[in-house]
Amino acid sequence: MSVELPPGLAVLIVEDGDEYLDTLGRFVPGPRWLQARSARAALEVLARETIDLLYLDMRFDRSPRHDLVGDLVAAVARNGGDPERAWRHLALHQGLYILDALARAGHGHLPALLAYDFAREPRRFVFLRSTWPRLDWVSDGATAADIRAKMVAVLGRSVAP
Amino acid sequence: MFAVVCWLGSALALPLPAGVTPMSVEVAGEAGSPAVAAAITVLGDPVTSASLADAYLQAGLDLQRRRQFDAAAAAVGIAWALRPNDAAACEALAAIHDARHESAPAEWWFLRAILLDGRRASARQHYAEFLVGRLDEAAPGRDVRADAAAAVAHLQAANTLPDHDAALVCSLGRALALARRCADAAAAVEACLRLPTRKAPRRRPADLHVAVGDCHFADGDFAEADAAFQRAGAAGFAVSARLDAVRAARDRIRIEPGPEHEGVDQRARDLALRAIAALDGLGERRTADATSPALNPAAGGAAPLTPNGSARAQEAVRLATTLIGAALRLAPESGLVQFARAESLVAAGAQADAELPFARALALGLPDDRWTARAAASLGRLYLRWGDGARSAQAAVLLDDAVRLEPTRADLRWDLIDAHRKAGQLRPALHHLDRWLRREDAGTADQRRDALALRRALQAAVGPADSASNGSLPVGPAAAATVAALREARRLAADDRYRDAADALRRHLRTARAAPALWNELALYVEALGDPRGALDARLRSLAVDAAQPDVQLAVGRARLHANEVTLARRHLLEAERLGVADATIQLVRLDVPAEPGLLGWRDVRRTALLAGLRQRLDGALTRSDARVPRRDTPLGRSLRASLDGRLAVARAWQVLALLLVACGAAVLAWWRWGGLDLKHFLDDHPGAGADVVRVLAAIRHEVLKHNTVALEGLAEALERGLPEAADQASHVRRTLLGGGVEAAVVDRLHGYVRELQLIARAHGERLNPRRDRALRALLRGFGLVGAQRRALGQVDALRASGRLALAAALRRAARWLNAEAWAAVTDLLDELRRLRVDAALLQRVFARTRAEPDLAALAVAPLDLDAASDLPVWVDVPRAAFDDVLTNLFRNAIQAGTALEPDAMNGGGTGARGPVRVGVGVHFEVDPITGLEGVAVAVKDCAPGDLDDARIRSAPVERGLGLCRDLVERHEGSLDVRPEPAPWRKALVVRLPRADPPAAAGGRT
Repeated sequence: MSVELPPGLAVLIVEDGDEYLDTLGRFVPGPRWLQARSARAALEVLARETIDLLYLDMRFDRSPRHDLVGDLVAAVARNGGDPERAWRHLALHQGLYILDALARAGHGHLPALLAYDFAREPRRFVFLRSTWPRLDWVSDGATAADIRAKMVAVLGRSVAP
Repeated sequence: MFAVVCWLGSALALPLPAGVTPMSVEVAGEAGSPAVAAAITVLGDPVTSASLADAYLQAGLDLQRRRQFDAAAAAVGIAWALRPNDAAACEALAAIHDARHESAPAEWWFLRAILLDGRRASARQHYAEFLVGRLDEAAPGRDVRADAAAAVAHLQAANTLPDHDAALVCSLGRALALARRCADAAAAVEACLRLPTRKAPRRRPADLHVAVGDCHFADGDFAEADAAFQRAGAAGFAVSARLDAVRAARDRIRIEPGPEHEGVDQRARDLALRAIAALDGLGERRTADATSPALNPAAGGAAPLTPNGSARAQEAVRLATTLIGAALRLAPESGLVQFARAESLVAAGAQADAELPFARALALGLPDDRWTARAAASLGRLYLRWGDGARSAQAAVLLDDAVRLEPTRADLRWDLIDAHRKAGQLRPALHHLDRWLRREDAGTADQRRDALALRRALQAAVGPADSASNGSLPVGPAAAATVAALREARRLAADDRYRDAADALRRHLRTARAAPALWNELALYVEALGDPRGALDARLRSLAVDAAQPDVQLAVGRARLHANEVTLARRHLLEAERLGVADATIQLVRLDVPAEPGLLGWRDVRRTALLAGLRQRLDGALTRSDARVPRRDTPLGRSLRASLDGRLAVARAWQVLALLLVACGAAVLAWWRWGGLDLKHFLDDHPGAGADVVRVLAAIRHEVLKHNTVALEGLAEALERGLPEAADQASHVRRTLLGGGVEAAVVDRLHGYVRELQLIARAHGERLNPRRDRALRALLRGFGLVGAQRRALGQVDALRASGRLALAAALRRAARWLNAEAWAAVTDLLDELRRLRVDAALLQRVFARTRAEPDLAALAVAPLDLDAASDLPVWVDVPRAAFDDVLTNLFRNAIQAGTALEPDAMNGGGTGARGPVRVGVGVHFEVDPITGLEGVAVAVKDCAPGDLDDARIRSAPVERGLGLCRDLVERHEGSLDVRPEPAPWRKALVVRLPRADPPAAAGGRT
């Protein structure tokens, strides 16, 4: 039984390439798919568009470093003082840093789907949802129906869990 | 005739004799023909005929003088017809024909005239002059001495007759010169020149001098030749070329006077040897041991000079002739000189003339046995070449002498065998053949094979004669004539008269053709005598009478084989085999054996069955007990069997080698297909590669598996529902997954990662087989299923509904492989690789193992001080081996640092007494507030102050100690740093590792 998406849905995809836009645009028709390649670009879209849902990639390893957000100093300290590993850490978890940046900019109420498999890290996801109540995740192996179901579910989730 | 006479009468203005009546004889034949003669005889009156003959003869002579030769011939012909025994008419007719250059009839008439009247000097003189004139026109190189000698004889005979012409001596001079009787010629010429001119009006002195000079030159008497040519020149003849030739010849032979002690014989011998040396350079040699042809009497002798012989050969013959001429003048009685002369004649092609000097040489004696053997052999070969039976017998005698003198000369023995065979003397031929075969080094393999075949033939021919009385004759009353014929033939054969025996058989066969025994006997004889075709013909005639003769069938088969008539040979050999002849089978096997085994016998690999069949057939023939004809050719059978065995062995070796190669290839393929390790086993053996493998697997999960399910399932759904966007989606799937676009396709990335994993394994000396690994196999299978649909994905619009459904089904299968199988496998493997449960027991075990190390075992070390507030147990994302290595290093460093402290310090600044070294450990969680990433901080504490800081840790070399620890933890997304620690500790080295959820807590994908 396929789940129907609400009409007129606007979804902002934040990714470092075009794969999600291509795939979702083709295989999950219905929503208006918008795209941003960085936190700054996402904030610009959010400033001019009404976005119903955020759809975020986790890894931004193709993005230029100046587009990455996050506390580099803390990252360096966390990575044994190695700046390269710090940059890599920021890139690999950039989706969460972007969410943090958006929350700080006042968009923490938006429902968000993170393209990441938390199936083996349930405790981590619980922790993340504690700071972003309308967060859910989609594994890379999800079908279009799975994605639609997740979208509907996260849209129906209230801000206060 | 009347018409002839009338015509001649009118033509010659002669009156017809009285009493001659015209007769209706229509003759238009040549004068002197039998028809004319017949006509004349009917005239009847002898007196009238004689007078008429005189008249016509005289008329003819007049006409001849007026050079009206046709009319003269007709008139004289009538005269001869009227009086056939008239030598004058014959001479006149000869002269007329000579004038008309009709050599053959001229000679005929001359000879007839001389036969009719031997004392007719003019006829002899004219005939001699005719001969001399003909010699002048003879072709260069032709031996003219026979004609010249005849001319001399006639002239000398004429010279004794009373009515001879005084000028005859001039002709005699020329004839003598041509006959190479140079001294007599010179004397005759002198006599001629002394004649008054009126008596010899036609003499030409210059020609005579030239003839004498040529004679001297040919004999090598260059001084006399030079004098004669000088005289010819003085008489006006152009002799410069001849004088040059004389000078050249003198230079060539350079006959110098020998030393006083050197006799004439020695010089003649030297000249002869030089001539022989020149001749030995011609033609082929029959012996190979001629070390010095110039002085080697064992040389084969001169070969006849062919008309198209090379200029060099002709020059050699000329030189030899010149040398021999000189030698003959010096010592004509020398055997060696005579031998050289004979050799030169053979070389010049005058074999008939060589017989006498060869005989003289043998009679006069030669320097030693070798020369004697050579001369005897040469004459023997000459006789052998002439070929008739009597000459062959003489040749056998001579060659037998030669062989006796030179018993080691195989070529002489072969010639002797040949001579005996041609003479019909088969027993001595067999004897000498056996002698030759007894020599181990005799001939090549082919020659020995031929010799053995010949011996068989000779033995076969000799055998019946020897067994004439032992019952090998046909029996029965009908065979009486055959038996008689055979007895006669065998009696002759027993006397070694095989030619006569063969002739006797032929005589009998003229009347008794249906006698196979006679034909067979004849075949044996003629085959042994060297006539294989005759033998074959005889055997075929025998078989025509009785085809069921196994031996004869075999013999015909062999003869056909020898003549390269393979098809016919096979027919006879098969018949012989059918009749039970084992040798026929052997011959057939030899025929059927493939000729070319190829390089190293590789061609025989495909012929193994054929070769084995032949081998079996051969075995059957060689071991058959019911063969009706005893085997005689077992050596051939044995050699064939050996050859087949060898070839079969080689072929089978090739086959075994090929099988081994195939087996090796199959093993390699099997190893390639099923060999090698999967990731789990590889990492079990090489845990140090875990970090690299984890990195690649994580990349595969993220880069390869991402989006696949949504795309494949979405497309499948669109296809099943017949949605119009299916084509665009299919194109997208094809481009992104399989390639064809600008960006690298997913499948290419997958293959890149698989190669990277294989390289990692290779770096550890292992082979990673993706087909054996659950995760990689599922990935490759899934993409393989998609790849198989590449064409369908490109033409979705053209697919029928069933095609679309089939494509959708395939895509769903691929999605299941990628989503369920591959994803789960990769994730499980990642979990298995890096998830480790850390608890107090593990920490204690590592600590206990560390302090038990040889370097630390003697130290006093307190039990591990585990912080009671530690968050244990806890799961971390790091392989067990890496965790053990890191912790062991840190414990070791802490113990070693503790032993170097002052006693107070060891106890945290206590009593001053030295106590055991203390090491503490605490484990606590850390959570990143943004990413939610949980870390586990394992702090190894000690009491040593040290000067360690983060900078030193980062700069420590990775090969050992802290550097190695740092590298290990960083490869698993961890870190290592140092921090101060409250008393009683001084500092702590803190390892931070990613925290993992326990397996039970980790769910599947949603």
